Amino acid sequence: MKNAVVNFDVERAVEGAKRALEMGVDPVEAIDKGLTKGLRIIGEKFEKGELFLMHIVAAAETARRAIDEVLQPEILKRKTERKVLGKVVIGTVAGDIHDIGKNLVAVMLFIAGFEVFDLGRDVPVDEFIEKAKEVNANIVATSTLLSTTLLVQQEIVEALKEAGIRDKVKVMVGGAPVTQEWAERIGADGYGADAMEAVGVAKRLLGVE
Amino acid sequence: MELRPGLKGGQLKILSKDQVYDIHLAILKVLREHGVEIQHEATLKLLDAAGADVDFKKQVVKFPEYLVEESIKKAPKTVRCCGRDPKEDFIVEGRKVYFGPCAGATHFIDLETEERRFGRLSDMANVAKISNALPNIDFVMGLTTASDVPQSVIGLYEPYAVMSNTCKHVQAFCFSDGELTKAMIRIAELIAGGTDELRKRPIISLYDEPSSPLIFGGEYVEALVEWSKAGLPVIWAPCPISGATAPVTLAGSIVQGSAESLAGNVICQFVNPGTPFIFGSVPLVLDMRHALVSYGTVETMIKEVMLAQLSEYYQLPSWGTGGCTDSKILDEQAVAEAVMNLTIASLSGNNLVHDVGFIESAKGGSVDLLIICDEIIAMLRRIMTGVSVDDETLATDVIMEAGHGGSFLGLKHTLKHFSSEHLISELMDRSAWIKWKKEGKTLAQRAHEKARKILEEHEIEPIPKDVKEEIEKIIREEEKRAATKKAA
Repeated sequence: MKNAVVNFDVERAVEGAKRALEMGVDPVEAIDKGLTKGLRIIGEKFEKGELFLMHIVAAAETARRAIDEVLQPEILKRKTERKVLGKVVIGTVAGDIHDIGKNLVAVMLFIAGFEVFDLGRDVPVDEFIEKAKEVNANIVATSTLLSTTLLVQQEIVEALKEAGIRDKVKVMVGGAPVTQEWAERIGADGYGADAMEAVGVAKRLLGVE
Repeated sequence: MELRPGLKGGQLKILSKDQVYDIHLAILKVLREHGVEIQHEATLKLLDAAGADVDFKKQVVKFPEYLVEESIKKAPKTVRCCGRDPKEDFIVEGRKVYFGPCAGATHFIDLETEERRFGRLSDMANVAKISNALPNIDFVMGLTTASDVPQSVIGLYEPYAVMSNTCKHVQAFCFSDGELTKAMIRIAELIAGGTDELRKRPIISLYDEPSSPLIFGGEYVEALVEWSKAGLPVIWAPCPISGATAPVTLAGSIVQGSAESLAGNVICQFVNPGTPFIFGSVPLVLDMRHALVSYGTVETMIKEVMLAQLSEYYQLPSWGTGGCTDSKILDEQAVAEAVMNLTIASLSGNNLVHDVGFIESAKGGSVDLLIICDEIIAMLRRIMTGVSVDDETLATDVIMEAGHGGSFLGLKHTLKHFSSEHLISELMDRSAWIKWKKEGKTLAQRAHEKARKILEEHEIEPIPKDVKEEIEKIIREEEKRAATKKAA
């Protein structure tokens, strides 16, 4: 499965996952020792500048398919838990349909070992809150490209307070008009200028570096 | 009356005629078989009635070929862009090229401290004033966005601030729904002196965008529709990002971006046949190392030329991009990229070249870069003007008059032809070492001094007081309306 990820071979990854289960390998182990290792290799090559963003996306997709289609259902069945760095609920805020930046952050977080719940774009404030509660999220990450929808990021911070879970989750904000200054002003915990930085921020916020 | 002269562009071709046609066929295929998601009910109905294949549930519209092609024919080949001062008018047609800054960058390089900070309304006013004074800037936007006004009515504050501080043609950067757009048109009418006056002499056009791939957001369509109803010029140009929101291949991303733009033209021409429409896209690239959009790449320049060739094929006026950089500050990279993309933009012949003065991949505005670009455009204009070759300029008799080893400096021929044949640069340093060393200023410093000087000395004909009062009343009312809308 490690090689399948490194070669972006979805079919082989899915087949490999099925075979692992047949051979009695624990699904959590299969992710850890197979897929995650592959992702780590890709991540390192990306950092060295040997691979590019589309390779990251392709590798993530390969791993995701093996997890979603084969391993995760088995994990649920066995009532065990995946080892993840943390759970992140992510989305582009209401009023904004630009999601390419958010998608990249989601992929980078996944590659780094986070479990990512991507709510998509134009996501109502309540949906962030509900999902965060439902999955016991460690991080709520919101993105916007438009300067006019910046304020929604603030509304989400307020809504988390109202829902009484502000102390349970860290809030990350990102997007073209967002700055460190803005993050501080609205009481968010972290800001990343790009997708790679966002991963570092997420790790730092959860103390999992 | 004399108009602003367009730079004569269009000399560079990258595609063969067959390739242009292949791209056209691919655009028609995307529109016919895949269509566009249009998040605006009234427009879906309009297009349904016009003969498009509309899936109301999915909000997807597929366009038969004839609708796309008929709409291209309905759009005017010539668009007049006017200034508050008629001397600033210019005609968009053929391969005449005009230049101006964009708006919307969140950050701005402060003119006093030279620090990077959030943009303000006063910055946009300053940019408008400086643009007014720059001889090679033809149309004006505010280069940044105002973080210090109520965001709900930013679509009124910004164009109004720009229009108040320039007599040149202004483009409104769309942040508006239909109601705000109508208010913006009322404001423009007040400044132009009436509804008919504005139609006759459009002192403002709309820069509005779909969201790639192939989504037309509801409020953006509302703005497009209202603007078309008013018969004012509209730019409907997406920002397809190769590798992210559009195919990684250059041809594919041009196909998609052009399909998005032409679908917008169908809307405009069915709302109001003859709406002046500017075709094109901002053909960007995703940087695969940093996961960020880039503006200064050669791929964008190649796509500029491809777009210009398509617009030539459609005989539609076109949108261009240049004078911008990915560099974070005004440094060597900034000037290198700006020179290169302004040159290619000029050679491409796209009509309205925007983004002049953008740094940090359109996340920052630099007035100093804008000023340097003004000078670069002057040089390009001189190059594209070409040379005159006749008895007078071949100057054989003058060569003989000067004689062997003689000097031309004192000849009447020199006096007569110098200023039409040679461009005097204001910013480029051509002095001797000793003199330069004494002053020791870089190009960026000289540009900065020029900006300060313009702000101190340049005067703009103000908008009459009674008109201003009426406009400010409209803005206050719209602010209230937006607040009630939000509360509801």
